[in-house]
Amino acid sequence: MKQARFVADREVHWERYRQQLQRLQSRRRGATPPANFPAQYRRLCNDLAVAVSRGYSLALIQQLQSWIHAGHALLYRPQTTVSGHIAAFFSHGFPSMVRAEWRLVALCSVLLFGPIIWLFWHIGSTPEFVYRVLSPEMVAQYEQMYARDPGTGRDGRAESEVLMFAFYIMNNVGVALRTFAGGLLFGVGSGLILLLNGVMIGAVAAHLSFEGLHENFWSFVIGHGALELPAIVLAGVAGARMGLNLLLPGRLSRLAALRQGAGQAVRLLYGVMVMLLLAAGLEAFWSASTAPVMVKYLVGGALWLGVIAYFLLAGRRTGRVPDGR
Amino acid sequence: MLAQAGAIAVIDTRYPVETPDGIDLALHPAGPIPRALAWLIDLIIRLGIMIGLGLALSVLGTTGLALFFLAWFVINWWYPVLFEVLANGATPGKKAFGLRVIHELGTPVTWGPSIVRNLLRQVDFLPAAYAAGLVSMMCNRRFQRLGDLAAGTLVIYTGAARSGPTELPDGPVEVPPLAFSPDEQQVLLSFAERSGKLNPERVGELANLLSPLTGHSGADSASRVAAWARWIRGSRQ
Repeated sequence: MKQARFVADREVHWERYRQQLQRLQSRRRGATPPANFPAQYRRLCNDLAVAVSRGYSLALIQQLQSWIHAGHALLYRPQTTVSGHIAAFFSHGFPSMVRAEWRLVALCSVLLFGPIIWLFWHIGSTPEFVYRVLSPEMVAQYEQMYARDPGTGRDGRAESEVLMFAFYIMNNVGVALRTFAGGLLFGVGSGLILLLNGVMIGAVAAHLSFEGLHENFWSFVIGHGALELPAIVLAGVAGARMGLNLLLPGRLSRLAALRQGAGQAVRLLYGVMVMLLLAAGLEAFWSASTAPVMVKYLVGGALWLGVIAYFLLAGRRTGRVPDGR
Repeated sequence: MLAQAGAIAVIDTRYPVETPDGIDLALHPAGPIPRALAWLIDLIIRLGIMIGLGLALSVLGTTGLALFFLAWFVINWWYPVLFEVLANGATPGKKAFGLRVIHELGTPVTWGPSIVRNLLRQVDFLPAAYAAGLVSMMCNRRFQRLGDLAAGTLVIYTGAARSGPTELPDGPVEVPPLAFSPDEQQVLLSFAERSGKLNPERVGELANLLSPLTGHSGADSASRVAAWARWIRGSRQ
């Protein structure tokens, strides 16, 4: 059959398919195609195969291909029903993924908490060491920040609490996402960001503690720290998983291993981002509040215990997630 | 099957994806230049939004600043992800250049891969101005930057920019002197369809390759080939 006749024969069907396609594309995402759409689509696939095998013109072939690609995108669209998975993810998927990565969690914890502990010990004996880490202006700024009586809070206005909430989200989630991205550099980027954060936090914490501001400082950070510090560690784990898969791909090709690692890492990141949102809320509305120091310590301690218990115990009964190594 | 392979002869950057229906879709990956330009457009749009929001929210004082921080966070980190997943794989900049992000198998990009490829921009940007991404794009045939490699995604031309089937100009129809194979028929058709877009000298030059068959040279040879193409295509006199 000559191309001209073929086109004349089939044009009606193509036009119908195209109308169907436009209707589907203009409808909302995830709309189910009507029952006859797959059949129409397959007819078009058949037409394309015929056109190709008979050497019809490339322009026609490209045209058919672009229509088919549009239909393909609708028919083979991956199902993303997020809502149903959220509860399952946080009740067992996330904590069991974290448990499955316990070696990396331990490594990243050392990278973040190691410098903090070391600086505590070091600045305790040589207080001036803090100026090797932080500039005098920054030290003065932090001293001023925590110099106020904890009872008075920051300045107690709801507006400024919302402001700080927004700032913490922007800043902290940004740090976490960068920590993850750094993992592509064979994990080195993630490790460095964790170390740097550990050094900064350690220097500030140690300095303020030994300058007599320990009550102001610790009562402020203990609450949201319970979510924020583990979240940063887990962002590091996500990056390290990607970097490690790249370094030691095992039986997979390096690219396939990287992809698998990135897939796992991004699921960890979902959890990390939720933790950081909660932490930002706590930091802005609870840590800065005027609650008595003792209450803050108690709540903070309970939060730490809760977070640790969550990662150790949650979702044990349902077993491991199949794809969380 | 052989003819299928011939249809997507790999002399350009197109790359075939076999669908479950047993046909090949030829995807046309986009190179660094249009993608960089699309990125620039997106950058301008983002800056515009931020400046506009900054001015509008400055009236609201502290609350305005809080909203500004949140907006900055969303636009800085999630602008490309939201557009790619919710708007058919294209940010406004990409759309302007007829580009689209898809999964490597030709299916629409989903949340996970989109987040991976956009977060890893941070690394592609290193050490400056997307140098790492550029090197990565030059090292593989699908122009994937590092984020694309990790996510299993690629940026393609949608094809909307290109024209549909080109009609052959009317003219004489002539039976070809040989029985051409499907591949050869296709080459003749493509030549005849495209000759309107080439300059006459180039058309003549190409048609001269077939002089032994056409018995003419230059423009005469080209019009003879066009007559064969009409016959192959089945046009009426």
